[in-house]
Amino acid sequence: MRIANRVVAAVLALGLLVGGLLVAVEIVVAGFDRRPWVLPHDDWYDSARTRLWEDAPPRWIFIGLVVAGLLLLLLQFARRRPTALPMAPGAVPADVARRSLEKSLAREASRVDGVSSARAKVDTDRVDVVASSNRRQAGDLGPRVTQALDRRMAALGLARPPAVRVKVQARGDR
Amino acid sequence: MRRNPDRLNRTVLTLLALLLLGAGGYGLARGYGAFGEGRADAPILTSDVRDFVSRNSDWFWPLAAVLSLLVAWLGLRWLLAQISSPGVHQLPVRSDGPGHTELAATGAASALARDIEDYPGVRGARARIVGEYPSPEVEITVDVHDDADIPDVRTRIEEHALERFRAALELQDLRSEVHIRLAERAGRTVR
Repeated sequence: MRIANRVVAAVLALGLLVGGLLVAVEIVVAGFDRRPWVLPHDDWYDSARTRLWEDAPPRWIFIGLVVAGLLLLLLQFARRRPTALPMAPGAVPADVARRSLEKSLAREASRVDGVSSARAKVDTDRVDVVASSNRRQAGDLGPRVTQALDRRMAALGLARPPAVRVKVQARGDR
Repeated sequence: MRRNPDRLNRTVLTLLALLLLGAGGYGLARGYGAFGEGRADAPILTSDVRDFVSRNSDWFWPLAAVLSLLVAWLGLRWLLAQISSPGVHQLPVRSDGPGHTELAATGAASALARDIEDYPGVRGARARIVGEYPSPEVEITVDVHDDADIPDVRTRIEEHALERFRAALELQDLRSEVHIRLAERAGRTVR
């Protein structure tokens, strides 16, 4: 989402820059009674003078504006996972990068005997870990992985350590 | 303190979204007769508006041009915020003589990073001085091994590396922030 926002922001910022410059130049050009340089503003002026608010073309433009506004608003309110989790208050503010924490927890889970691979997803208040095992039965793998990850989370010194939830996929489950 | 434009983008894009919704919603409402049939079948650019512009053309168009340039300038600032962050290049060093000495900010930041890299459990470190002198800020990114004692690394940075850095630069009020990234210990592989 952040990447999408940055792309949209860069495109719109470029649009404002170019659009603002073009309008200023067109105003100067029109001040010398010259024909429009790039923007066909004389056509737009004629159209705005003759078209009514209830006509179809302006209505489509307004619908476009509403749709663009809604999409932009949805993009802003879409739920995002944090880029970093704050550490407990100290002399200097500190945080732990979320992606690195996810990989670290996956590595920690993979070190538990019986786990062949693992992946972790960290959110503000929850860590979801899926551990895969080559064993037919998960047995006590779930509690052991949870215990290892709880220990790991406690050692990080986070301000609000998220709760760890582990799901084990044994060979028999797949 | 993290110098990325996410918060700015979110604020500006939310404002733009509300502006688009407002303009589009008003146009649709007016076109569908929400403000009366007379206003729905009026031209978009009414004669009142045209008369106003023509009566005040001596100041209206110069003002419009200035506002357009302002929009262009804001667009430029917003665009630059996506690609760069304000870094400090030189730090003045206090001297009692007539001369003027400056310290390369990157050199000072590298020294701080090297200090941190010597701590047990640290795989690598990067420091960056941002903001404006005389109140710059330092942003430290530290890669630590999975099994490192992270609170201990943090305490060492706060009480040793940053203290030395502040004393060397004579910036006791230097604000700082530490970003920790967990990294695999070399030679280990994930099964």
